[in-house]
Amino acid sequence: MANWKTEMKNYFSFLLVVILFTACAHVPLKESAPPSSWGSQGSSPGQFNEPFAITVDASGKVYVADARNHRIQKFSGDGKFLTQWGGQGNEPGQFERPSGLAVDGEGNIFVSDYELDWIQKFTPEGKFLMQWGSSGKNAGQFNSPTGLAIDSRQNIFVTDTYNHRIQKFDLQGNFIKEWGQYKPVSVIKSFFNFLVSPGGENDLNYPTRIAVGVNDRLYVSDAYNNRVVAYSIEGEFLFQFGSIGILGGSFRVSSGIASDKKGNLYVADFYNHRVQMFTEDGSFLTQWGGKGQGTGQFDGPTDVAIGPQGQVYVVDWGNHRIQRFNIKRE
Amino acid sequence: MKKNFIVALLCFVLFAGAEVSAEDATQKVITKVEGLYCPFCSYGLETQVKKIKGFKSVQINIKEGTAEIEFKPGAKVSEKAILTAVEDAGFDLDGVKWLTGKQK
Repeated sequence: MANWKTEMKNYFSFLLVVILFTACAHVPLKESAPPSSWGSQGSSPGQFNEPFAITVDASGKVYVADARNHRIQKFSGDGKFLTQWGGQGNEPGQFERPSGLAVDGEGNIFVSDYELDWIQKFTPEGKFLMQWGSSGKNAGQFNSPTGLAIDSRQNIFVTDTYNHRIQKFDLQGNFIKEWGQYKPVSVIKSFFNFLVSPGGENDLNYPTRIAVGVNDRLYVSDAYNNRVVAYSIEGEFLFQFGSIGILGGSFRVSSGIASDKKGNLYVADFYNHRVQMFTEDGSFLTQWGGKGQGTGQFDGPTDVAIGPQGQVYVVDWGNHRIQRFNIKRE
Repeated sequence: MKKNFIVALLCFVLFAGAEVSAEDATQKVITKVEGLYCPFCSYGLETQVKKIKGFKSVQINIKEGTAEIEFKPGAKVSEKAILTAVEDAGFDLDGVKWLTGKQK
């Protein structure tokens, strides 16, 4: 009995060391300029009512899905309001709940609508071009689509959140393939994933956001499994990282995700009110944030996008603002 | 006699109607929902609640894990309809409290 107790004591000591090491082993960041932010709660141009998604085009223009104002707002890279479009409704060009954004190689903007279950395509100035999708479970249908991402071959990927799957289309909205099925990963397995693989390679539990990384690798925020899953663009499982928790490298509802040109990943961690940075292979690098209203703090970040010069834009959902960080790793 | 009966009947109908309207005008329910953590799911709850016949508005409080739902006057809303909406959104209903105008 005494030996058993000693073994358990040693085991938990080891566990504590591992956890502390994971928490502390992060690469320091150097901000090349102070973070900046724009927006406040309201419906005027430049204000937001629950901003939810963000994307940045090749010229550095920033597009924000202003969910409860039923519109898309377009800004310069430093937050100057440029234009807006939308309005509540289910006519072409209108929105009920714009929930995801992506920009293609020609600068066209794709917007998913969480309530209307379709995707709309616009010019960079907001002129409606086309739409596809309807409510349902069949191929090409959606049940609350949220995340959008476009690869170098101009395929578009959609996190079909309430259908717990990923769907792949061409840019004309023609269905190509789908993968994923609903299954929560065991919380215990998730927590101890450094000892035992949590499995669930084809399982998803409310996938929220998706990003295309270097070499067209796909990264999916599997929100309620508190992890990120990497796939090939054909939907083949590659690896996963993350677990439930508050330490570096773990999540409490993984949400927005983006990749910079070097392949580094930035993942919004909704309930830990932070953004975490990983290598392209999922090794934890660093984190920043914390709950609050101050500069650099968050109240439920829901999306991340990377600017042409590596600026990190974060949707600070609960604070109704966008924050921009200019970060360089030391 | 016949005239008095008709007047009484009219009064009864009007009175009964007024009582129902007064009750229905203030139908409001607060639901406690388990697992309501973020907008990715709370928006889903809103989507489902909006499908309940007679829906008027909803206020979701993620921090409290509650949804306060208001229904239009005259709407016949059952707790079963609310339960179905919550379950269709992927949640478990922890409880329903009628703030005003409780339905049978």
